[in-house]
Amino acid sequence: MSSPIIEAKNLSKWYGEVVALNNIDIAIPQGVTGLLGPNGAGKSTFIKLALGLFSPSRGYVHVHGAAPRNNRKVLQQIGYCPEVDQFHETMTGYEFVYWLNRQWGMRKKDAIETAESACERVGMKDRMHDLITTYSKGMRQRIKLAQALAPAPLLLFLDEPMAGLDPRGREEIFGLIRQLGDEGLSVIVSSHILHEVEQVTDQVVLIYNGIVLAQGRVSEIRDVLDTHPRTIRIAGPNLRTLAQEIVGNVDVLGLELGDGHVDIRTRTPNETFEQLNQWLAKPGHTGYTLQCTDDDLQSVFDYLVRR
Amino acid sequence: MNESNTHQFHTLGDQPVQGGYLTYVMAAFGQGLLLLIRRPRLLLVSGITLLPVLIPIMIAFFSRDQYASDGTDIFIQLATRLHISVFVPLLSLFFGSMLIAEEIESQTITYLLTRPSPRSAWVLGRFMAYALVATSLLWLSLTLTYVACTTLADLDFAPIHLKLLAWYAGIGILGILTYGTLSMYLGAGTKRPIVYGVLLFFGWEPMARVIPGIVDFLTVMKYLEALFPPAAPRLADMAVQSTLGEYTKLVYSVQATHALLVLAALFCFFMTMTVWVLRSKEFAGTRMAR
Repeated sequence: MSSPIIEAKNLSKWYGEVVALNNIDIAIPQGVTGLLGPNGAGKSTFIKLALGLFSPSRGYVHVHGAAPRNNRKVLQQIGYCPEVDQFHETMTGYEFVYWLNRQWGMRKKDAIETAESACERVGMKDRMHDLITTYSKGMRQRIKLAQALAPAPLLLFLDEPMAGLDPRGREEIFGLIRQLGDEGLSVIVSSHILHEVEQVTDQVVLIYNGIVLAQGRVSEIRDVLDTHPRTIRIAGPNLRTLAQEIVGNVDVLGLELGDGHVDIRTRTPNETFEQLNQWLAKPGHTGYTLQCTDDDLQSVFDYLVRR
Repeated sequence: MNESNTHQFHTLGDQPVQGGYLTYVMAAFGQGLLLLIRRPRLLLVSGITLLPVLIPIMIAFFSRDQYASDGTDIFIQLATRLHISVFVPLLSLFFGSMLIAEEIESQTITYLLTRPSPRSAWVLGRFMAYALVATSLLWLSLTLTYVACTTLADLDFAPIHLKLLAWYAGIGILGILTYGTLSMYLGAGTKRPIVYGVLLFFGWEPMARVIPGIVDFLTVMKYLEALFPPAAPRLADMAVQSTLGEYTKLVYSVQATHALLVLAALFCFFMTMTVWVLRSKEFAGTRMAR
């Protein structure tokens, strides 16, 4: 396995008596990774530590093997789309990206070309010469993304990138993030909306109250949680009869009859799934569908924070 | 999103070439200049700075021939008591304190701090933009005031005194540079740079000039005053009368070369301090973060 692009050990950050991150260990591999947690969990603090905007109170965070704070070599490889909706409002979108390109160290010609292509890539070509004050929230979000993408970074931090976007805009950003991942770029997507992250990756780090609850692939995390019962949903006809038959034959903890479906709770999902498949394969048991309803991130997250 | 780009988009590992230190300085200068000249209150400040031009015009309009003052004397009074004593600190405070403070307040500083630019280059470039705008306004006001003083009505026109204009222009830029770095440092290092700046420039400095002793050495104006032309009024030569009595402050003068050295040292000190603050302080998000 290749070395992680971001590695944190015993990382803590506190402001006065407020602990934002508490002794966390994180290893983020190459690719697209979701940084998940509710508001105030410590996601943005972690990102700012990884960007070198903050110094750790204890422990360390390394990006590409080096401490990022005041480290120009690390910053050269990083693109950052912040959560805050703030700009130099007297500029146009193009000017905003152009001048940040110049701050990156690009010469005029490169700065112009990359600003134009970045605006174009995020779908802002037609409006890039308009003042930022005239932009919608979605357009502002795209310009933020454009300035992060423009220097062609190796590692991109997107802090709540879907905030304020309409469904179509979200789909486009999802597509872009997936595309960037396919191109080999490492992307850290922070979000408190789990569904959003599921759209772009199954590699996640779950943060809650300043501690890391879990990290890895969603399915792997879910498998670790053997102590928690999982739910299998069967939809189809004659559910009451079906339920009666299942209770005696399948390893179930509980069973709940719903509208057009029955939910089975079990501690042995693989075996139960197998048993159900065999049972449904019998003659007369047609028209049923099986689905594991709590493999998604929300369920994992709910389990982990014991809500 | 557009899949087909007309421009070549840089792909992984194909980053644009980075320029040298000067590229960063010029980038910060260009961006800073654009932001300064588009500031909504620039017009208001320009108007205030040009107000002294009206004074000689009014004097020329209202005064009788036999009482007409010498134009050069009026110019010296205005340049000393308004341009250098008031507008230099005022322009420095207005533009200089906001150079970095505005980026912090608006949280746009995170964009800049996540760029791989040397902090010193950014500070220097931004400061150059400020110095250009503030000096331009000051010089414009000085020049128009000089023209108004020396060419209107019965006032004395003495082209030979153009040297006087250049003299004050020089003191003006030294003031803009020194007060500017101090203001910039206040903007980077404190939460209320305008309040501290007003207290310092318009509270402490005038007060220190009348307090007995040598506390006036702890003001920037002391060293600017040391560079004034011989005909200029002395700002600190004042008798103070109060309910308790009357005294005349004994003023220790500073040599021009020493004054220049102190101003240069102050400039370098506050410039370095600003860079240090930018490197060490945590600005991301809000001023809450230390």
